[in-house]
Amino acid sequence: MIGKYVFLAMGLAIVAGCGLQPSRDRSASPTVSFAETYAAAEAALAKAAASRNVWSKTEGLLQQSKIANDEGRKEDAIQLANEARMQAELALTQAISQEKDWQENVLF
Amino acid sequence: MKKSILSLCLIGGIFSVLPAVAGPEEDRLAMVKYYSDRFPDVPMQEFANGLYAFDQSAREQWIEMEDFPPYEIAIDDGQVLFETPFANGKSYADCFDNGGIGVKQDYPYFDADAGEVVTLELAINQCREANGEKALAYMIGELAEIAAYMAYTSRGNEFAIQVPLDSPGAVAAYSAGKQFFYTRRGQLNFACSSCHIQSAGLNLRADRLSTTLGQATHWPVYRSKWGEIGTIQKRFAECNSQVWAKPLEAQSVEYRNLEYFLSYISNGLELNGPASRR
Repeated sequence: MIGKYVFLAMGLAIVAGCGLQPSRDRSASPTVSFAETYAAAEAALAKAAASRNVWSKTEGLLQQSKIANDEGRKEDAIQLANEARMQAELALTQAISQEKDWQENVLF
Repeated sequence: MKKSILSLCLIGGIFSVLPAVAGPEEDRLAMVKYYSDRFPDVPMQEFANGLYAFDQSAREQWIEMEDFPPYEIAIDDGQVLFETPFANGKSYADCFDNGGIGVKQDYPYFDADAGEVVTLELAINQCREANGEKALAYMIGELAEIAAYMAYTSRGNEFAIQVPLDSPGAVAAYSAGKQFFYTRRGQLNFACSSCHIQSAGLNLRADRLSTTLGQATHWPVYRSKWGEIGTIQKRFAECNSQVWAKPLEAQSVEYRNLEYFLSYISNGLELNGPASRR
């Protein structure tokens, strides 16, 4: 049952990800600290890695975030870090729910 | 009398809330039945040939390719590597039963002393390190070539993977491999079983998905898309990538347990490695 919610959440994440392309959304608050956002994403990624379930695009998003920040594109950098954090949190949720629900996938 | 009835009720109640967990042989037999029902015209041994068991067009191309098999060079190179003594004068033959010839059907096995699954590739590197040599990279290259030669000498032998039920470690490793197989992962939220059980035989883009039964019999494999020979764990990593999950390390505990599970499921099928695939 939880697996279905995870699946739904991931679907929403993919849809949300489509809207998180750099420089499209200018709504990010300039008062948000990149350092804090990046650190939160790193922490979430570390938790996902500890669960042995990291999504393949997450680390790349963090790298792109750092590059964007180095190039002075602060809003893009924060959006990318937030996207990485969201992916890492969903991966961790997936790992935790599957630890319990994997038997639902056994057909026989 | 009342106490006996109460006890029975309690025992019944306990068992009714426990999940039904099948043992290795029950799993294998259920898998055999599932695929036999799904592909009634496919002889059992044919499942060792992957999608070529039921895709006639792909099969014809594969048979043509087998006239000059692309893995042949790897077998030859692997034999040279296998027979070349280490610096201390010993060789791979000193590390394996029967001098390492025709032994692949017994790998992976559970090493009770070490408390872990030992794959053939891990055993090759353990042999090297025990003789003062550096370990080789696991997915491609010389180690895959040595494994290809050893697989070649084992062709025709039936997979005979052991999961001793009186070994809690072995059963736990097998169960962990089974859990990995059925666990959804990656951004696409797929389990191994999503493709290779639920969708086996169906098209995924231009290819039809192979069955779990027979999936471990033919490694290492020369894949045309790789342009080289690679181990089964290279394929695990690739499968994980395809569902947008970051692959685990080659010979990680998880991948070795998965290989243990998959190999057991193919017990009784004849080994046919190395093989070629698209």
